[in-house]
Amino acid sequence: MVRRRVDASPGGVVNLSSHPDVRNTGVPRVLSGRGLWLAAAVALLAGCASAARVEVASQFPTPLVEPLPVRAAVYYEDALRQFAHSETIPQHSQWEFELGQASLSLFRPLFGALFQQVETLERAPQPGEIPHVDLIIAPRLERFEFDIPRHRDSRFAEVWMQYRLFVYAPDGTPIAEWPVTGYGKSAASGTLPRAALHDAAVRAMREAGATISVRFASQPDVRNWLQENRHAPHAAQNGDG
Amino acid sequence: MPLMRPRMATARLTPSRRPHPVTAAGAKPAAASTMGGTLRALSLLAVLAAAILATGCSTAQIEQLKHSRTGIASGERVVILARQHHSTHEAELDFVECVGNALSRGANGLEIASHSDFVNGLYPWFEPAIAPLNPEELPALLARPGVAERLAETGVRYVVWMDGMTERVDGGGSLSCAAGPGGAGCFGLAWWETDARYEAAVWDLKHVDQAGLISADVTGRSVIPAVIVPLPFISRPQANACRGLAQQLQEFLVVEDQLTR
Repeated sequence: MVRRRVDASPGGVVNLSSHPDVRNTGVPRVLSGRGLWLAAAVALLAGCASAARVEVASQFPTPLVEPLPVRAAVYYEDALRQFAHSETIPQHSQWEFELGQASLSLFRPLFGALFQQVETLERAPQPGEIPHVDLIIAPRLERFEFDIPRHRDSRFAEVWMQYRLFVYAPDGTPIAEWPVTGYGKSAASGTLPRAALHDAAVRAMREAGATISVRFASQPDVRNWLQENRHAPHAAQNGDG
Repeated sequence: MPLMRPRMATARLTPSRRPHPVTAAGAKPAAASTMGGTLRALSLLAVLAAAILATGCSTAQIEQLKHSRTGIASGERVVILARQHHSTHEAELDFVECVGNALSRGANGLEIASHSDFVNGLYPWFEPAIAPLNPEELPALLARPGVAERLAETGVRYVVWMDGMTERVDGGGSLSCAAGPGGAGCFGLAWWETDARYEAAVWDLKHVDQAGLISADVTGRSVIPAVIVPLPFISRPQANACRGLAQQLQEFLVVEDQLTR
């Protein structure tokens, strides 16, 4: 998929209060006769030019997993907090996604359930700055792709995304780096399936969250670290999935 | 091994489908007044008869396979979940809701748990990528910390996994309409065939086993004949599949003594 950042034009708001044609009645004279047609045409063109916006907003559930006996600190970098994706589907439509807040809504309860103790860092820590934790985690959303039904036989809007979890020791030593993917699809209708794309994005995020909560402890580097540091999870705990 | 022979309930819906009262009532006077000729009125009647016969070619097949005794006590609930792990299809949300609504109605109405409450409360264990695909995986799931307790809190005894889809499988004919200063009208015949095919796998969380399977396959042919006025005879196989499946599911879950050896 082609990624392109598009600066959307502001939403066509015109202040008519100072216009000479606006009389005391409050009815602008410009909106009569030919002007009405002109305004309609401009509005139509503006509508065609602006991108369809999907602001992913959802409350994600807290995973039902036994917490690992680990004290963790999580740093959400600005790129994750403000993640946006713009893309134009040639000869079809233009889309803008905002996933920053949704990612935070996904990770906060997730890490809260996954570790015995969690704190959120406001800035990137210096090596050795927070020695009272066992792990530092920095998630990143590094890929986002989507598709909408464009053929008669296709019925689903689809979203695919990839987070990457960076896991460090408090002294800054890298422990693990784990790409986690999520996929979601949702039945779409209409030419601009905004709701279906939103639903598909939420599903993809839920899948990524599910994978992290079930398989974090079984990642080879994480598992080795847990064993070496005697934080190994109990039997039947998360990590054996 | 199934304890019961498959019980097949096949229903053929012969010309019981009535034409829509509004369109049928409105069509004849319109045709008569516009065409005026006996020949054309006869051709209209012929098309109507063909359409009614064609819409009668709608079949429903409901099959049930029961593996273990069922029955449901007061306070026990049912949740219906759509299988979402296929890349090409998944049971439509409105179909799942339709079956849930139908199950909760009537003298034997069942208590249906909210799909989203259930899946959220047990997150991540019923997400498409993680959810158990067969009942053999249930014991491992229930052994996970907190899962059995959370399931008990939900009051859900039966999980019904809904799989399948409704799709248009065939179609043909042609219908053209035109409008002019003297009026407007359509002529021709268009038809299409829709297949609603679903399977419900019933898991009994109390006995940690699959209680059985119910499948519904409903095919319906829709026809739009038009002589000046188009007359749509639309079959609704998905609605029929919903009704049939819900009725069978209700019997399956409520009636305890269905096992035969």
